[in-house]
Amino acid sequence: MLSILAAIERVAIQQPQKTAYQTHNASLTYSELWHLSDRLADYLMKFNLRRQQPIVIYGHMSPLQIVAFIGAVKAGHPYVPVDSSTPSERLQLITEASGAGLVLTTELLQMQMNIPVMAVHDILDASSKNVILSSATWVQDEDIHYIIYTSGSTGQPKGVQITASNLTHFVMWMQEHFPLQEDGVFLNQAPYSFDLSVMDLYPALVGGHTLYAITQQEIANPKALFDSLATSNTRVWTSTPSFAKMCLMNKEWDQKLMPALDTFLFCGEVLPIAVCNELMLRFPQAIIYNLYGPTETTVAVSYVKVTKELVARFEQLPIAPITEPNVSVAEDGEIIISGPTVSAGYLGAPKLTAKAFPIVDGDRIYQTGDIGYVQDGYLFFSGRKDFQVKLHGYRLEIEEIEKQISNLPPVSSCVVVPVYKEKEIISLSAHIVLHEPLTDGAFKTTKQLKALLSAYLPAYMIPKTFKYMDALPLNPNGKIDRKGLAVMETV
Amino acid sequence: MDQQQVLEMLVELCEDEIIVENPDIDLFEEGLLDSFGTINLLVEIENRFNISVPITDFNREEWNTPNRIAGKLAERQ
Repeated sequence: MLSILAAIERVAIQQPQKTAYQTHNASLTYSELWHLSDRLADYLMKFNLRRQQPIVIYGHMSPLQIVAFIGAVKAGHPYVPVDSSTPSERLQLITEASGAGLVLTTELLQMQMNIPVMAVHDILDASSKNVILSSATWVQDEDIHYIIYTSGSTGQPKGVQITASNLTHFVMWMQEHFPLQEDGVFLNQAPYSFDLSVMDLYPALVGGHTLYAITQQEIANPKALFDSLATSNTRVWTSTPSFAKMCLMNKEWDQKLMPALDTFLFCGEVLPIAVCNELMLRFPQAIIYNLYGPTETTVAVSYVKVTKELVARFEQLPIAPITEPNVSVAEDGEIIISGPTVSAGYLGAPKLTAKAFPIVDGDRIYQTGDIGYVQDGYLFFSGRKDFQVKLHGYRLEIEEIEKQISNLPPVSSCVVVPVYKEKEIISLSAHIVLHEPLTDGAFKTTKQLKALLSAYLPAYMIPKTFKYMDALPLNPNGKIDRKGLAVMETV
Repeated sequence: MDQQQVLEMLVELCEDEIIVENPDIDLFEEGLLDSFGTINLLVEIENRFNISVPITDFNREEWNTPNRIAGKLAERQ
């Protein structure tokens, strides 16, 4: 079986000067990636971490971020990517929950941590220049390669452990089903805290292609974003549908601006047909793929190729053909995933793992919590069993947000409901009961609560509106009337 | 298009009456608008006022408050 690291090494030997990774102002060749990560790994091995002890890697899009990922796994340690937009308390929580022995940074981290924090840049400055590392220490097979934290309904983020074998199977599946062989630039849009980034990162590096990463700062500044996209020469586009929808707002975003673009890979949320129709008009050379899969089964496990025939036939796009061997629907409608990309479970949470990943006929399967149905030979997604929602492609557990708001000192209780517009979630709304009646006016209180909350939750998890009530509305069964609140929140 | 119509549009988009109370509020700093909200804003501006603002002309420093947005739109009318 292909080893991810061995495949990247082969590229580094065959085409050392080829650009592996690029942003608008920095780049890295395969030779640099390989040798710098060797030096980093060599240094890490002298650090006396436990075998397979995780390393948190904090930063955003930059060449050293990739060096840090590869360096960690070469030294035999799984990495936990934490984007620099992550609030301090959440970083602290993830660091403690993962049992990490070290935080590597590629951006300035100002908070105090209980474990050593080292800048990748400083390590490389201090490390020996002539390191030859053997492959004996690399993570392999059932070793954990990375751990990605996702929102958890208990109020604690869940660390999904992906093994070297999971990742290898995923990359092989990508290479088998998508046109990734031909040389070209792969767009990297998703921050590394999200496993969507794995969809471009590893297939590009294993195939010897160039990754072009766009930063959150560019995304917040449309002119910089489109200038960057225009010069990127992207051939393979990976993003959430929300991001493409945002780009479509620029009428000049089309095949002329991005002449090399011939493949769209979408994952992370429902891909609206209207987005596909518009993309087909603007990018006549490109093929669109709708991929499906949760973080727990390594990025994606199924797909459909979006054709004119398919969009004309259905009101909603399917997520898999029923012939897909690893995806099935249980009697109660829940989508079940099996096969070699099912993760090793949640780190340090055996009960949660046993519940979500039961063993069936000796194999671990994953109960996604997604509800699906079969029609005309395809599988369709129709909702969730629980209170997980997707907002702009981010996966959120409503209960985690409620717990964090309820933990704020002024708050007595709280319910969060999604706000729908034309069947799509556009924001979240929090209904809050305070211990003391409002004195400062709602706006000031909201501002104060949002400021408190921003230490615990990333910006995309903080509800947009806060409404204050004397008591939460109850339904006839005495439970909180979420449905009633949800109806109020449809615009 | 008058100032009032712009404020009404922003109240609907940001789901907050504070816009009328304080039209100099920074919509981005207060978390009332984000990258996706910006997109919705540009769509609404085109739908309601028939003014097309290219996304590449939109920068946060100049379009950050209700009053500034109203001013920018008045220039383009």
